[in-house]
This record gives sequence, structure tokens and C-alpha cells, in this order.
Amino acid sequence: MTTFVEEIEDIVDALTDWAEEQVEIIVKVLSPSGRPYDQKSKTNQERISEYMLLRSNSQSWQDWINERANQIIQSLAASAVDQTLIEGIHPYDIALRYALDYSYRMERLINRYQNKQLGEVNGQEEKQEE
Amino acid sequence: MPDYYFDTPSPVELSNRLQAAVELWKDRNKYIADVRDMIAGKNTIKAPASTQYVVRIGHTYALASIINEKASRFLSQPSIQVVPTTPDDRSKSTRLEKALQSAFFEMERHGDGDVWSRIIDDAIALDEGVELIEAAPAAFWPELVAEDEEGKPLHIMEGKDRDQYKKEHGLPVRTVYVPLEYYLPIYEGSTQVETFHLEQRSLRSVLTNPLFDTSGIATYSKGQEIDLKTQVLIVRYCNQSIYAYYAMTPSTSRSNWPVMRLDVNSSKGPLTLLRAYKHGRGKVIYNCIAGRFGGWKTNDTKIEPVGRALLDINQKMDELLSQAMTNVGARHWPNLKFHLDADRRGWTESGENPTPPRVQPGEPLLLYIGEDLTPTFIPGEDPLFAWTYDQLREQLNKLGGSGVLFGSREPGVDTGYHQALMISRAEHLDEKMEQHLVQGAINRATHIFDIVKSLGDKGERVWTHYIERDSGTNNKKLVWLNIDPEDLTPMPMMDARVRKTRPVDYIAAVRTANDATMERPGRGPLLSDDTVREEILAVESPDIEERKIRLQTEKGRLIDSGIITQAVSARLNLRLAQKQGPQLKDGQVAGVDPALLESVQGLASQQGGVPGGINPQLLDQVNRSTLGPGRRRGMVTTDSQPEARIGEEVAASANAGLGI
Repeated sequence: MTTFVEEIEDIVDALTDWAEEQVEIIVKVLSPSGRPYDQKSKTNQERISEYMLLRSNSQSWQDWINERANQIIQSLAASAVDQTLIEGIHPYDIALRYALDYSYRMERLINRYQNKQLGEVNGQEEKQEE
Repeated sequence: MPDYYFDTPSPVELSNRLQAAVELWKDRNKYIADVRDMIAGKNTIKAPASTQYVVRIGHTYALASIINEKASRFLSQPSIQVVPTTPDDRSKSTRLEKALQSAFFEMERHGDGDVWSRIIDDAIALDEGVELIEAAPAAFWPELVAEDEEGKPLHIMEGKDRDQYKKEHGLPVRTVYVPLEYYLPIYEGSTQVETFHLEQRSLRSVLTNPLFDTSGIATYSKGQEIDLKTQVLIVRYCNQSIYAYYAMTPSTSRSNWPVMRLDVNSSKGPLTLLRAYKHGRGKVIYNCIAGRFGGWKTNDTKIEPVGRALLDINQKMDELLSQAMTNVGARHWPNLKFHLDADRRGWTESGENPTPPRVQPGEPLLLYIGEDLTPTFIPGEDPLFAWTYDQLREQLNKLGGSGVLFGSREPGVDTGYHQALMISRAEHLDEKMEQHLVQGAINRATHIFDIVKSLGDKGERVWTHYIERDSGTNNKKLVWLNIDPEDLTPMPMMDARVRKTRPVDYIAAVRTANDATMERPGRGPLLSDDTVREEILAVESPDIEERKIRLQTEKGRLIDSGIITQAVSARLNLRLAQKQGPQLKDGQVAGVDPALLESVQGLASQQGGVPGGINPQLLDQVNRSTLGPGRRRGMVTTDSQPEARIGEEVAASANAGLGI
């Protein structure tokens, strides 16, 4: 026979799984690298163009982070998660980590493009000298 | 004590006693045969044999419908209540109740099934139902009872092994339905001292039964195929001590086997003993359950006048229905009557009738002037049919009990008061029936207890089981219960429930229970919860019910205290803390857009901070990247200290509401 403690543990497990799943779904949908359903993946050029709107503009970054964090907060609230619990999840931490990760990846991508273009220019100059 | 209480009679003696018993119950069996025919719609309806119209015969099955309707009021298995002698005995009585419930099911499964329901049908229609309750340890526990030539057990099983064996092999009891006409008891006062039970089996099955001594009938065998078609009349004899099987063999021709005909004294032939054993129960091993009028103790019973009246009404209704159907047929599928002009139709001198015109459907019909074509019987209303039928039906309801118990409204009953009157009248008819069924159910349980006490030298603990559903996982699981001979001395007091509780009964009982348990100023409630559950609500195991209620109440309190929400919050925070977004590697922050780092610092320095704050370690990484390695800007004023962050998480866990 299941004891009462085991029964309570089962309920806690089930609810935790559900809540974690909700948070993960929300975060996944809101992450910049996440691909919304039924849409094509963006090309590198498109991704860079999009990123350039944020680059070097601290206000745009702040807006981007605020927007992501608010979306997390609103989505969790819509799933009937209590405000205290939402704060306990630290939505700004999540948004910031995504922003930093996003920026790091995009900077590397831009560097690769710049190096490639530089290599092509150097190659042309060497040919002209010859 | 007379010897017929305990001894096995000789075949000749037994044959004489059997003939006396057949003679004794001849009238009863004639009545039973009439009732069985009526229920099956085999009653004869007299009708004119030679008519111009087709006679149509119909059966109303009115008696069968009464029996069906009445039988549906009763449970398919009785529910036994073992009354505890002291409050401490409560758990023992609950165990015995559950064990009996399961034993009733098992013994029917081991027997021929659906025994109790068929007993109820017979008790309603014939005023008595009979079952044979057999102990069969040799069949169910072969290894446990096997003995060597010296009578010592072949397999010695003790303690847990013995119990495990018995659990695996089940309850060694079976019950078999006995049609009342094949049961011929001999009463002394109210006690059955000898009984005969007749049945037919194929000669093949008799000859191959390992328990039977077939030396007396083996010479009748003509090969398995013919033996299968040969029906042997088996006479089962039982007294207070002995149970014996006899075969009734042909008296003259070797192929002329006696057949069962119990309305006349024709079951005759020499008896051959096949098997006899001591059953050890001190009473006959048949359980007779009386109907409304107390069953058949003599050949004269009160059921017969009422039953005969019902048969008579049913017969009249069948005749009326047959007349009505014949009449409708004759009027609506008529024979046509032609008025013909003999001259025009060609009357012959030899006196032959003119041929009536034949017309196919849809074709015109040619008639000469003065000729006519009419149906033999003219369709018309006949209120006599409806009136007679209503009279019969009303009388049938008075005798048999009506469907008002199940909510059906009788014609002319328009007010609730009249409906209530009809319900109480119908219920009154069932009360006696219910009372006798209760007695039969208690006797059934007593038989099982007697068997448990009579197994082996000092009785034998038997095991039954039931399926319980786990409230948490909803999985089924097996629970074992035992009936221990030690629990049966003294024999427990028992009560039984045999009728289904109607919803209206339950509502009334709950109201009564509420009133009886209501707190009275200074005097407490009128009755205890325990008494109310047992006496008013007929809860089978009130101690289990009380435990369930206590558990439910405490569960509710614990859940209301927020323990689940707190536990969920704590666990969720822990999981999310472990994987909060992408994990940043060392030096990764240094490679991001400097404007982003500025904006992070901007967010951190906002007045009042951001909801949930920013992780100080993350912020530290950002600061080090903007100021270079080994340099720190200091604590951002609006951000939490690391210790405060831990406090925040604890507070979030503890104070989270019931949102999730």
C-alpha cells in the first residue's frame, strides 16, 4: 500500500515536472536561436543583418533583454505560476544568459566573415603585385 | 439416535425411502412443473381446432416478467455482516466479512456458477431455492490430503509452505444449484434428516469418475460412444453424517434406463452404491432458502394458492391475447365473402359452385349488378378486450408485486400519495422474501464456517483473496484473507444484506444518519458514528470507513497547509538553477558586443532592480570583462548580495502561492 508520504512525493514530482516543462517550453520559444514552428531557418546574412540592429547600441540591447524577460514573466503568469515563484526563477538571468550567448555567437560569426573577406582582399592584392 | 441419521442405508432400503420421498413431493413437483412450463411459455392454450380462420396462439409471459422484475431487486451475491462481540473484535469481523464475500464468489466459480441468482429465481417462483455446498479438499488440495497405504500424509507441509500451497490452490468449497423438483428432503419437525437429490449423468462420465466404485454398473458399458448417449439417474443421498452417490440401473431390459419423472412415481430401478463419505458437518449439506411463504416443509404450502392464482391469471391473459391476435388476424387478413349472381356466373345443373373471381393486386375487379364482396369479419372497436386485460393485469400486480418500486406509474395513479401507497404495498410483499433470503445467506456462511472447522482433525485455516485498488497508483493488487478455525469458536453472530439499496433509500438513510449524529446541547449526539454507519447506513466495515475518513481529513489539512506548493517551488527552483538558460563558458563574456555589457550594467543599476534580480556571479563576469581582469567595480547597489540571493530563493520557495 502506498503511504501518504509516497503519495505526496508523487504529486510533488508530477507538479514539478509540469512546471519545469512549462518554463522550458517558454524559454525555448523565446530564445533567439529557436526556430518558430513552420518557419524556415534564417541564413547567416539574415542573422547578421538582424544582429546589426542591436550591435553597438546599449539601449537596443536593454530593450531586447527587457522584452525577453517580460515575455518569460507573462508566459509563466499565463500558466498560472505565482508571482513569487516567477521571481524565484529569475527571468532576467535567463534573458541575460541568452543575450550574452547570442552576442558571443554572432560576434564570432561576424569575425569569421570579416576574416574571410580580408583573406579574399589580400589574395587579390598579391595577384596584382605579381 | 435413529440409525438413518448417521448410517449409509443399503440400496434396497434406500430405494424404498426414495420411492416414499417421490410420493411425498409428487404434488409439489406437479406444481413446479406447471410453473416452469408457464415461465417458459409452454402452457397449453385451448382453441377451436376447425375454423374458417387461422387460430393464432400467443404467450404474455406475465409470470416470467414478475419474476424478472422481483429478482432484479436482489443482489447477485449476499453481503454478510459479522457482528463483533467487543469493539476489539472489529478488525476480526471485518476480515471475516471480506473473506466470506470472496468465498461466496469463489465457491460459485468452483461450482456451476450463478448459483445465488438462480436460487432467488426459484425462491420467488416456487417459494424455495436449494444449493449444495460441498467441501472438496481432495479435488482442490490433492497433495495436501494424499496419504500412503498406512494412512500417513504423503507430503508433509507445515507453516508457511502449507499456507502458500492453500493460497495457490484456492478455497476447497463449491456450491451447485439444485433445481427444487430434484431435491426430495425428509423432514422431522423443521430438521431435514435425510435428503435425496437426483441428477442425470452420462454412463461414460460415471464409469470414468475415479472416485466412483463402478464394479456394479461396468457390465452395462457398450463402448464410449453409446455410453455417452446413455443417461444414468444418479441418486445423491445425504443424512446428518453420510453423503453417498448411487446409480439407478435398469430393472428389466438392460437398455431401459430409468429416467427422471418426478410428477409421477416412475423413477424405479435397483440402486448401486458408487461412493459414500462422512461429510462431518452434523447436518445435511444442502442450503434451502425459503421464499415469501417459508418454503416447502410439507407437501402443503401457502405459495401454491397464490402461485396457482398467478398461473390462472397468466393462463387467462394468454388465452385473451390469443383470442385478440386471432381476432385481429381474422379481421385484418380477412376471408372475403362473395355474393354472386348465380345466373351470370354460370350455375351448373350438377350443382357445382361458381368460381369466385380472382384478381391480382392493382387490377380492377369485375362485379355484376347485385353482386357484393365483403370481409367475413368486420373490423371494429371491442372495449371488452382492453377492460378484461386491465382487470387481469391489476390482479396480477396485486398478487405478484408491481413495478412501482422501480418508478413506473400505474394507470390512474396520479398523485404522489397514491404512488407512495402502492410502493409501500409492494414493499410489504417483498419484506418476507428479504427476511428469508437473509436467513439463507447466513446459513450459507455457516456452512462455510462448518467446513473450515471440519477439515482435518482440528479444522484447517483456508485462504481467500480479493482485489484491491491502490488509491495512489490506481493499480490493482491482491490481498489475502484467511478464515481461521480459531475465530469460529464460538460461532460468530451474523447478519446479511440481500437487497439492493435504492437511491431513495440511501438518501433517506443519509438524512437519518445526519440527524442521529447531530450534536445536542450538553448531551452529545443521539447515536455514535459507529452505530449509525453499521445500523442505518449498512456499511459493511465501519472501522475501515472511519480510517478512510480520518485519512481523507488529514490529507486535506496537510494539502491546505501548502506543503505541496512549497515542495514544488523548492524542487523547481533547484532544477531551474541547475540549467538556467545557456551555460556561459570562461572568457565567453569577453567576446560579446561591449554595448550589451553596458546595457547589462544599466539594468543592474536600475532603481529598484529588475524582477527576480540578476545573478551576482553573472554580473561579476560582466564587470570583469568591461574593466579588465583583476579589477572590480564593486557591488552594484540594487543587486542582491550572494547570501541575499540564497535568501531570495528560499523565500520564493516558502512563500510561493497556490498558482501551480
